[in-house]
Order: sequence, then C-alpha cells, then structure tokens
Amino acid sequence: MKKYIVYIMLLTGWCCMSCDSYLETKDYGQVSPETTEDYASLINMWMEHIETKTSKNPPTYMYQDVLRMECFSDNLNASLSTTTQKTYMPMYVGEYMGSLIYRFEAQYKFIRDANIVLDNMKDDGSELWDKTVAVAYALRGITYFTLLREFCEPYDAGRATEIMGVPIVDHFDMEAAPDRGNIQETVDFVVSDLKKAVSMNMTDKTYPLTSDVAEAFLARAYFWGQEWNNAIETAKSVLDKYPLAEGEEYKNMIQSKPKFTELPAEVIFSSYTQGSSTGTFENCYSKYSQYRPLDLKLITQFREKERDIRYNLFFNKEYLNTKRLNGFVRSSEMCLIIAESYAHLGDEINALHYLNMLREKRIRDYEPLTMNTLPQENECGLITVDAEGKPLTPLMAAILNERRKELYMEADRWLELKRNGRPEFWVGYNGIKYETKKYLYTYPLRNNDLIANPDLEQNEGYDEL
Amino acid sequence: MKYILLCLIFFFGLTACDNSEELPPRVEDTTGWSITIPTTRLSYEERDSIQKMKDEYEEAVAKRAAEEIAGNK
Repeated sequence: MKKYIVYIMLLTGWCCMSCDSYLETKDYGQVSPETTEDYASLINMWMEHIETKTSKNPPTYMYQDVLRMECFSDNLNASLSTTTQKTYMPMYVGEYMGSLIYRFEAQYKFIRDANIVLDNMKDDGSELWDKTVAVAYALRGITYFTLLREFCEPYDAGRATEIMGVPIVDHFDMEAAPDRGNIQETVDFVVSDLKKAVSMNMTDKTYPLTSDVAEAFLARAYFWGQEWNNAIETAKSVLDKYPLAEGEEYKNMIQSKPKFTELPAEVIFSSYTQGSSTGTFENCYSKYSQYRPLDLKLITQFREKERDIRYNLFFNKEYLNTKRLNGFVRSSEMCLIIAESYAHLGDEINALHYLNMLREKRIRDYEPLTMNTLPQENECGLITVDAEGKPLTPLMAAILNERRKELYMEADRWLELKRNGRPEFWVGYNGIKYETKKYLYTYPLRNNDLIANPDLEQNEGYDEL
Repeated sequence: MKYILLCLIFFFGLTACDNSEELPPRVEDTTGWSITIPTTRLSYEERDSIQKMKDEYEEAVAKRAAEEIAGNK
C-alpha cells in the first residue's frame, strides 16, 4: 500500500511541475550585444539611416518627406498642378495615407534599439559609453516627438489629459502592450529624454544627434506642448550658439546640397547629410517640385519683393520652387519659436524684437515693424486661429506669416496647419475633389498594430474606413 | 486497491484533455489591408473656382514679367 501512495505522490508532484522558463530567451537579432561597442553599433546603424538612407522612415524628415509634406500643405497649389507624380507629389495627405500608416511601426524600431542600449549597456566608464547613451536618449526623445506630432491630435492645454498620446515603451519587453495614455504623458516623456540627452553634453559631431540637436528638439517639444517660457529659454540657448545667417552665407545655406563635410551656417541638424541617392534628390528638387506652383497667398506675403533675399531664392518668375529640399533644423526656427512664445505670453515688445531680428537679416534696408506698422491681417493663409484656439491678432499673423515664408519647403507648414486649428480645405485635379478634413492631420494606426495590441485605440475618423 | 488506483490514474489522465481540439483564435489576414480615403467629383462651381485660380496665377506671372521688363528699362 505504501508503495502505491509513493507512486501517487510522485505522479501528483510530476503533474505539478511546470515548464515556465523553457522559452524565456528573447531573441532580437543574430548576435546578442554584450560590449559597449556592440551596443554602439546598434545606435550607429540608425545614425546611418538618418545620414544616408531614404528608406526605413526615420523620425527626422528626408528630402522626399519634405516635398510630400509641402504637398499636403497650402504652400503649393495642387489645383494648379501641371502633372501628377503620386510617390513624391501626392495631391493631398489622403492620397499618401496608405504609406503613412507604416511610420508608426517604423518609429518603434528606433525606440526598441534605443531601449536595448539604455536597458542593458553596462557603464564601463568609457567615453563611448557616454556618447552612446546620450545619442540613445536623443534618438528616443526625437522619435517620440515625431510620433507625438504625427499620430496624436495637436496639443490642447485644456484637454491634455483627454487627448490620446502614443504608447510609452521605455524598456525592451516583447510582451509589453501598453495603451496610449494621454498626450501630456507623451510630451513629458519627450522632454525628459531630451533633457537627459542635453545634460550629457555630447559634442562629437560625427554623430548627427549631438546635445545641441537634442536641445533644439527640446525647444520644439516645449513649443508643441505650449510651455512657452521653457520654449523661450531653450530656443534662446540654441540661438546664442547658432547665430542667424545673412547675405551670401544665407544663400549658400539655403541652396546647399549633400554631401556635407560640415553643416551650413545656422543649421543645427540636417538629415541626409551624406546623401547617396543624388539622382532622386535632384529629381525631387529640380523636376517634381516644379510640377506645382506656389500658392499666390504665400507669394503676396513677400511684400518687399526683391529687397527680400528669399524672393528670388525660393521660387522663379513662374512661381515654381527653386529652394533645395533639405531636412534642416536651424536657428531661424528657434528665433520664430521665441517670437511666437512671447506673443502667447502677451509680451508684444519681445515678440516684435525677435520677429524684427529675423526680418532684418532677410530684408535689405529694413524698417523694423512696430505695433502700429504691423500689416492689419488676421489670417495666415488658411490659418485663422492660433495654437491656443484664439483668433489671430496682427502680431500673431505676422509671426506665422514670417514662419511660413522662412520655413517654406522645409516640412514645416503642414505641421503648422495642424498646430494652428487644423483648417479644412480642398483641392481639385482632373475632375476629382480631394478634401483635407480635420481628422486627416492625425495619421491612423495600421490594422496590424491594433491587432497586435488590443489596448491600442484608433485615431478619430478612421474607424469606418 | 490496485484497480481503484489504476482507475483514478486513468480518469486523471483524461482530465487534461477536455479541449484537445482547441485552436488558437483566428487572426484575420491583415497583409493586404490598406486604407483609402474617399474622394468626390468636383461640382461645376468648384471647377469654375479652379479656373479662376488658374487665371489669377497666369495674370500674376504676366504681371511679374511686365514689372521685370519695366525695371530693366
């Protein structure tokens, strides 16, 4: 009898054994990184994509992204297109949505590798460790900033805990399926990462994401998140280090073309610095971008005409583009961030000061604007309300119009439309009406992503499509 | 006793297999999934407004050319 009891106990014990660890290996590549050099090579691969590649959907915009985003906006008049080129010159954002949905997944590949580095790389006290960590923080912060601008509704301080953010994945975990949280959490995470990158003071320019670049993106993040005082302080710090270019130096910067041995004047960051697809670059710049004239409302903003250096530099006599397609972050944007932030804070004197600071570098024999001499406008193309939803004042309209001119063909205007009220508009070509509705400013998540993580929620407007 | 234990083991063995035919939940095929934003046809009024824009554009180009000629003189 005792023998049977022993058998029963053994059998019961055996049944209770589990196999919980036999599949625990998480294989994320052919070789698991171990040394600092191994981890650095993960980051270096993504740096190479930012510097030389035109695929993989990097978080920083390549020249073809620049052209497409300009086509989504009101800077070019799609209704006056002379021909179509759907890959690089979509008629409107909706025509390219089938490709934009892949950007969500693509960004998380950058985040995944940044997380692997930040989670696992052991501090060996080396300079390489410091640099790699700084770049990983910058890469993750910039990537989340891109997700924030593309896949979330624009920031609204009054609804910051209601607007969906993007899932925050701050550690490598294949099983994790975080929900979208809210936009404030996403902004805070971007700011936190970029501040860490700035604090590490990484100045080695062989990496495209130095601490200065992180600081410029931090200014952008504060600005997008409507933290006006922080945006001013951060943008001023960057502007001090990268003074505004003017004259021939400005012309050379605007018309610069990769490969770059060093960044042109006032440029803090450039994607595609080591361009290898020169044929496509040239086609996009000199051929495709001239299939569609500039919007006349933009042209009329160049009131000083030839006295404004940009008038003959950005477009030709037929109002077709002549500005090169570079994915820059440069100090002119910082100057305009400061001007607009002051305007939001009600500090008209400083807002005008920084607006004039930029204009006097661009316009010959310049007479500074005063509150009395501002053009009496309350619109900027399609924009009629500011980022806080208030009707445009002449000062705010002047700042936004200056930004529209200065950052024309730099992938800025589309995001400006989104930040300032998401105006609806339509264009027509070959009998078809293409309508940019409010929901199209926020890109949809792909079905695969929604199935992989049931806690993800689709953006408004796309459920029925 | 021996038979009782054998029966117990036999039934115990069967308890683990109540859903032996169960399959993982079917995941719909997503590889061909895409997104199409609907468009509409332009109305006659809208076609007219586009034509007006074209005329304004041509006029602006001509005006600039005239200004340039006047400037050269």
